[in-house]
Amino acid sequence: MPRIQASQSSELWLSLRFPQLSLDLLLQQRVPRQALVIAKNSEVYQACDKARALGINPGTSIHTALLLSETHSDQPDPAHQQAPLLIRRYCENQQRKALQQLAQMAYDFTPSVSLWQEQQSLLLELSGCLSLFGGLEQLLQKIRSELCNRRITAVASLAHSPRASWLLGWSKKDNLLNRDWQLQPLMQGNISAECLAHLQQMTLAELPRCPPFEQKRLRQWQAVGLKTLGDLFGLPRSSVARRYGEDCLRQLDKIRGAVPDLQAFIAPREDFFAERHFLAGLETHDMLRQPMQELLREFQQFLQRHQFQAESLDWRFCHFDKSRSHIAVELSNGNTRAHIFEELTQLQLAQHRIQSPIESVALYSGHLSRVQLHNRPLFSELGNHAAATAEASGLYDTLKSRLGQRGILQLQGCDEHLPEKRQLLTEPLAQPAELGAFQAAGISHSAALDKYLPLWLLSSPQPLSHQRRKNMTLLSSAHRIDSHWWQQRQQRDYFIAIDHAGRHWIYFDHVDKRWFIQGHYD
Amino acid sequence: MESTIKQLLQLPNTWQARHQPRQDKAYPSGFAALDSNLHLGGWPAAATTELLLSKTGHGELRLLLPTLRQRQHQAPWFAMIAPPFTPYAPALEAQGIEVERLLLIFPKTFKDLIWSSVQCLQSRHCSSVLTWCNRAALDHKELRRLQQAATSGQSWFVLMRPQHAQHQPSPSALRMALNPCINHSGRNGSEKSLDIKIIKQRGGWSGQELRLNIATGLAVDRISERPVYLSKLPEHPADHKNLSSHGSSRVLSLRNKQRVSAGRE
Repeated sequence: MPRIQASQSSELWLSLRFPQLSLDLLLQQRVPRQALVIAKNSEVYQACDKARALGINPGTSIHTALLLSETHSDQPDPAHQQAPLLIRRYCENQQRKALQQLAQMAYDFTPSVSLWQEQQSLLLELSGCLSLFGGLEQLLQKIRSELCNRRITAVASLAHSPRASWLLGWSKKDNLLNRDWQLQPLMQGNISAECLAHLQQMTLAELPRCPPFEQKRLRQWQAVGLKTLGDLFGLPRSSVARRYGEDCLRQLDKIRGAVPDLQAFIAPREDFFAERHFLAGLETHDMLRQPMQELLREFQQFLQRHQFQAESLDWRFCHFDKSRSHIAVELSNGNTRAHIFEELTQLQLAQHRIQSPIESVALYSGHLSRVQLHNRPLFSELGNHAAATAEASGLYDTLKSRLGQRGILQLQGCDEHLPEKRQLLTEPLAQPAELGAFQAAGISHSAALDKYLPLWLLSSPQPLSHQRRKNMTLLSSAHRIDSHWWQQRQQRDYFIAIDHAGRHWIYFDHVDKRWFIQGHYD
Repeated sequence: MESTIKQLLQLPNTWQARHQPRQDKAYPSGFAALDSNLHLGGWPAAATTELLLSKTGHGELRLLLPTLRQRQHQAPWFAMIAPPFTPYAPALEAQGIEVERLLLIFPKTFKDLIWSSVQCLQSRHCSSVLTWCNRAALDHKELRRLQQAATSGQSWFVLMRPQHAQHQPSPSALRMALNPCINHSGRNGSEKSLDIKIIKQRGGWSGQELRLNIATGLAVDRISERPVYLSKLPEHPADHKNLSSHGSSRVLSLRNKQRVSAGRE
């Protein structure tokens, strides 16, 4: 359930606006030599610095952008194959998921994070976290460095109400934070008064075109002679309500902080999802190594912060030809170490074939459980079977990733009379079962007779040729098993026989009237 | 020249015949005759033991059983990689081996075989690793890799290879050729023995040959008078027709019906 909290004057809201989120996702890995733009509806939506230097701004059409890039291209060689401008289509889904990941990252700093998808912004309420991080400046610098590590550009602004902080971000001079996210010296003494003063200085022209500041209304206000927000706040309330609607009045009050502005806060996710996008496709396993390491490091941080452990990972690949493939990595015990995940992933990756160039790599882990706290004894010499077997499951995981399901097996006892049914080959448990479990399963058999059993059992009894039977000498007297009269009667006389190769376990089947060999003694 | 030789002599891997053998750890094999011929007094620890077999599955497991039983408590698992047949668990339990500790590994390719052996050896969670390798020609590089894994993991490693590999040089610490044979002169009539020839021992003399009786612990009773309720054993196919079957007539008729319907299909 998202938490809802009213905004009061003692609050501190930080607004983070991401003006070029889709662009940053592509530029995270490697900055290309050409200019890059994101296109939406055949118009430029976001443009990188190189594109802006060529004169391509958000809003120009794609044709104009291509013309501009060609005229300014500094490679006059017509044989040169590279396009001067890279164009990628805007994907709303991708941007949405990226913003959600950023919101989860912001959750590390404050529990009150509000997501504003339409405006690509996050609103963080910081008043409760100041003492934990050692002051407002420290907290702001930490958030900034985290965003720098992820190579995401953000516009930050601070105010006493959410909308005010978002609006202040649109103005360069009225923002309380400068470019390096440092707080400007406060003239008024406290932040809410300072914000109000700055808001009043903001001109209507530099406000973004979103409610209540639509184009039509702005023209109306400019026609009346209002230039700044302060003029707007100075109007009598009843006349604003009458001329421009109750809605407009309420929104202005929310901006001022006079009326509570309810925000729905995000809830922390119980699963992990992170993605990396690439401009050029990845084709070999070596190229995948670095982004996978980065994603695993992020995953380990997430697990440590939330005290989770992971039991399975899912690597999802999206290819340029819109196909998808994935690798699933399973662990027998929950784990939190990135290097273990990496080893298991590399083992599976070696067997996975990349069909076509990969556009994006995503890591998803849904099965997260709370970390189990163990007690370890102080002296390992006293023997701690449990701790050793918990570590030994790592060996089982490694072997299973490469050898597959039926590559590694254990023997399980069954309570049966026929020798070939007394044991089953099964998948091993991650830790050795309770010692003695095999004996307990075969409890009806006498230990004295088990001494005469062979060490090796053939997978199924092989008929013994007459010649070979002649070469064998019987060593023991018969041991008869007469069973399964309810299904298909098995009447067998077992003997130990010896020939030049060694000692064998053979039996004569009275129902089939043939000799069979079933085991070897040595 | 002299200083070069001195340097060589000071290396830890150089052994001179007049020195005492290296005090390497060894695991007693359980057979006194074999231990007295091995200069370490047992199987070399933390190194490869190669057993070159004329016929797999006939003799080597019983030779290794006593040490396996003794070593099993050192670690949670012990591994058998690519065994020739399936081990029979009730027999192993009767011999004192805890079957819950056994891991059976069935690799599909030769590379997987070497890889899984190295993983088990390096992990320190396997007290013993027994690997059956059918391929006679193992690369020297692979053999060194296995030996180094055994040394680093401090586990007991036994590698079973076909006997014609004995002419290929190998870095393993101990190499023995095994030939099963029947000893007809024993007290109990025919007895199973192994002819063992030591081909190489690191730090000791090689060339010893001995015949080891591994049938200990399995005193079987000779065929004496057969109990009355058992019918005569069929020695020839012709005898089958003369024997009265112990199955009920109802079961017999059911089986005949099955045979007829199978024939129709």
